[in-house]
Amino acid sequence: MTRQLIPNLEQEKVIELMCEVLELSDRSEQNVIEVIEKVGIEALFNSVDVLEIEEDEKDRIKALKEVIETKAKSIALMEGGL
Amino acid sequence: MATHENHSDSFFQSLNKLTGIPMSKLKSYAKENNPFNVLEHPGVVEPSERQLDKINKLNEFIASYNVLKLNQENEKITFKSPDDAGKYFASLLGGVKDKERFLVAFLDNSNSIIELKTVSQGSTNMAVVYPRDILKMALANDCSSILLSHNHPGGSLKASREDIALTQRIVDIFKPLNINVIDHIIVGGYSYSSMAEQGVLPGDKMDVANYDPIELTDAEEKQVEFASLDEEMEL
Repeated sequence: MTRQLIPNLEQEKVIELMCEVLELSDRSEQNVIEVIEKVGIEALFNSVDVLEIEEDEKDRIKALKEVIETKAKSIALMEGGL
Repeated sequence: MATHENHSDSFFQSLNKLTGIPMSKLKSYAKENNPFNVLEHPGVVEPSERQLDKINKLNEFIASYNVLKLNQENEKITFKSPDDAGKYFASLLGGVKDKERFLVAFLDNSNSIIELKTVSQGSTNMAVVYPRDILKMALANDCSSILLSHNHPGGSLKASREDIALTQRIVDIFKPLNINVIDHIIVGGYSYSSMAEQGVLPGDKMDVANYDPIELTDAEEKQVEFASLDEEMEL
């Protein structure tokens, strides 16, 4: 039971932070939360195009994806000693 | 060097969109410093209180996201049966009644999703699918196969003659590239049907590939006509 709860709590925290960063409308926030709960957060980033939200909100999600990926690459480069 | 600059540019544009820190400040800092320090040491670009708050939230999000991602890493969305695909697309298209949407999932060799895209979004009775666009996306994703899905706003789950013809056109385009069209899921209401499961998914029959736009007009009306024709033939 505890093991099942922990990932859900982690996911809830990530969703909450993501909504604060993205400043989505209430309707869009609901839509994004539903998609994350159904398919997971990583799949959300690969499915931005199909979300029922405003274009500028899609742009902000894509921007978030870009920042995450760029940061991950920069860490990988540092760890590789480059 | 140019690649690195382009990389920083898109990073800064994204950071600007999310935090409101002006591009001029970000670029000026990056002239003599590692651009990625901005996230760890935001003070270097002298952000406003609000901008600093956004960066802190962004950092907190990235840290939590990475933990969650590690936990979910082995939970890729993989389609092992038409039922898996049907449930997935019904969760995205279920209940859409005001428009017809055509989605394509680009899959790797284990049938896990690399990327999902909307390739067409039309009115209740019309959408246009551009095969060239699907081809471009497939090549960009270096996929092994693709899975198609669209909704019938009227709720019918039966593949129309037009749906079958459209699928055939896409099969014809992808066959020479060894990219398989593994299924075409039709979503009506909150239910779904699989053309593969129903045995109407076009297979190896090769026509000449035709890249002209495909209009999905009045698909459900034509499906009714098609059903009527079947009935007449049976009689």
